[in-house]
Amino acid sequence: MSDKKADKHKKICDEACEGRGSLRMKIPIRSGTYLLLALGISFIVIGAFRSEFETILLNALILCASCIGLR
Amino acid sequence: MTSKPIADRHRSAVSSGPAVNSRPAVNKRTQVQLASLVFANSYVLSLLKFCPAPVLNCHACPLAVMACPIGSLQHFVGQRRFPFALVGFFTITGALIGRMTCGWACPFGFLQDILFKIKLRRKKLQVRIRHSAWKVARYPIFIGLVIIGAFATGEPLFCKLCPAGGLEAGLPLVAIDPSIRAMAGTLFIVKMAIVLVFIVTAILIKRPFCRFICPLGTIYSPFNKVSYVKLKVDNELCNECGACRAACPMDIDPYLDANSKDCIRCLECTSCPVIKVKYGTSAE
Repeated sequence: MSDKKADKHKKICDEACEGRGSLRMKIPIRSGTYLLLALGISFIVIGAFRSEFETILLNALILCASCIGLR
Repeated sequence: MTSKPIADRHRSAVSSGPAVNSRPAVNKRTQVQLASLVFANSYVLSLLKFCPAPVLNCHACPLAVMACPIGSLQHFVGQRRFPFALVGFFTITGALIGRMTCGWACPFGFLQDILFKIKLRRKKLQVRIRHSAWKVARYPIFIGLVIIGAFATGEPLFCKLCPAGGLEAGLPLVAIDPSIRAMAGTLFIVKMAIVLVFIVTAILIKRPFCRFICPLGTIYSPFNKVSYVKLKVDNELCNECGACRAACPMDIDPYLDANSKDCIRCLECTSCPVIKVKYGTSAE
């Protein structure tokens, strides 16, 4: 184990022994956020396979009479 | 009333950190909003129209580069297809930053911020609006017009009344194109009346469209509670002085619920050192 790693390990263990810290690993993002991100990416992939981006493009390119307020 | 030691601690925290009135994030936010306005309507990048914008920006605007998410959503609902890509897009944006796009990137929100900068005496009106029940109006508008209306009629009903469309697409196109001007009828007049009402309201109260109408904000708002970017109030130090509420463009009380569904994450309240941005790590 390198000195830097050993120092970090000692610091975490010492803090836990003194009741100040936790040995629990700190994950950068909550699992709920991971789940939502995974869900979002899956939906986008499904949407891409269903040619939804082409539909969005065609809808956006057409001059929208409702947006402008035409008869 | 808070005890004296807490009030003292709050005062010392405020004096040691940046003062509430210095508002360091405001200039930065205005710059980002301006950059977003220019990018969203820069015309040359209109190849991006296959991608929905994370903000309310009408895609019928001649300069728009991205698709309007609400217009696209209504199109899918009108065709009776489930919008997988849009739902995925909303989920990712919401899970990461909640309603932060409303506060930092929405051109329509930026316009409302500018309109409210016009100096008027409106304190009593602000208090009356803050306690009104109108802030729940955006839920029936979203469900009734965007979902049920589009599903039943197959047409984008919300777009017919949207002031963003009237301002960004209706006005410029009718002004520059005589053939479009010839087609403008009663609906156009109604839209212009809505735009006028909206402008007057935005001068009188803070962000009326975002607070009472915006369907995109309604979609993003539940994510505020679970998003990666959050706000945290140190309740021990807070003496509820109300400076954060005065700075808030949505007129909410950040010390009561820092991650309120109405919060647009503009971070203006974070100029008080008691309120901090917190990133949603699992080890909270």
